[in-house]
Amino acid sequence: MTRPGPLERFGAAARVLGALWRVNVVEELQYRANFVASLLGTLFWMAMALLTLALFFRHTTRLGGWDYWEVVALLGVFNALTGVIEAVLRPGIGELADEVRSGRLDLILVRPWRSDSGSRPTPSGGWDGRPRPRACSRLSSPSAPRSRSCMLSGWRS
Amino acid sequence: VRQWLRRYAALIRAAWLVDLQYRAAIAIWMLWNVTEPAIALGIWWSIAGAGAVQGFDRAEFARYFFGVALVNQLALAWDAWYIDRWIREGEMNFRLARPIKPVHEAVADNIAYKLRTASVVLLLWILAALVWPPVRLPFAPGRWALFALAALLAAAIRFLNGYATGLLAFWTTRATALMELQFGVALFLSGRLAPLALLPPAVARAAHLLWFPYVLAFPVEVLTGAVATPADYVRGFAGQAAWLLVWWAAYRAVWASGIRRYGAVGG
Repeated sequence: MTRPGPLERFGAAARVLGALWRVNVVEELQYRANFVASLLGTLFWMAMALLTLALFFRHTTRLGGWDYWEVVALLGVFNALTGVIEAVLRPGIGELADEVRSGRLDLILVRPWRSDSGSRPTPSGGWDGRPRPRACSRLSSPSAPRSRSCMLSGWRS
Repeated sequence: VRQWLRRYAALIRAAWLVDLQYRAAIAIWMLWNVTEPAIALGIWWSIAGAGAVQGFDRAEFARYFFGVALVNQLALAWDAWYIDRWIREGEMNFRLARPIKPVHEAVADNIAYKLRTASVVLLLWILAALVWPPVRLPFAPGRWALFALAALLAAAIRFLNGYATGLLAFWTTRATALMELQFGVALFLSGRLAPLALLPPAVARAAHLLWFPYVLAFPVEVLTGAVATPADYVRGFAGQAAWLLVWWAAYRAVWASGIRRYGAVGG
């Protein structure tokens, strides 16, 4: 069997990325109340930020040489950039730590594609050959007693 | 009583040791909690450069926001987020199987965590006061004792408020959203971003009808001396006592009916 050329590999990667993206959008929309709530939450915090500015500018007209509307524009730029980061990078990176801790990473490593980028298949699934502690894993039987370290592992993460 | 002292000593010791495993995370949270008042102080410092703002000069802002950093560290309430997850993911089960109620474990956890972090904030304040005169407080042991009482009550109110709100997860999946909502409102109404005197008067009056000023602004003002007359003290402590009772009753009611409703499979 010949190795696929760079163009085919790129095409396959794009297809996988597209599929992953579709799955994520559908997952997100499945919880409609949650979607509406997070939308309201975003609006709420935006209102809080504007009220904070209004509070400071109640007692002054300029802050470090910036007037009210200049700071509002700055806030808008900040929110827009944060939005891009939240949408593209944050959810996956945030979940990674939890997946490593809880053992759910196992499930992802055995998939044929890296789910973080989807850019290339993992040659050996990242398995290092050593058995992993499974006591905390969701895959272990629900009736298995939890070890003390498992009870504490979710303490403050 | 002795039995409870022994139980609490064991729980606090366990919580203290658990925290030792999360030194880096705790340092980062503490840094964040100090950053917010530091930023607010920076902004008011700049505004007050042109002259006092409604009687607040730069040094008064500095003392106020050092106080905010300390009281906020003492009265933090994070339990709602844990309870929410425990109930949702079934981790509440083994806590319910223990011989004492989960709330005692949470109280011990709070004591251990706050002993560690608040003493660091206090130490930072003392070091800052050595080199920076504006944040020095006059020597007043009586006032400090009243401050300790006010801070303890503030911590108790916020703890019960957070715990009761978190227990709403027995019914809803949005208990933490309610906490976020309170957190956002508290930025203004509890005096985190500005002393209450600098809010629009109608907002400040509305704030005093709620518990928010009693969990932050009141203890801070006891410490900085803004609360000085006996009438102010009585009003403040009466407000704290009333809200403590309200949230304690709320906790009891929510716990009693929620636990009857709770059922979990697996975990």
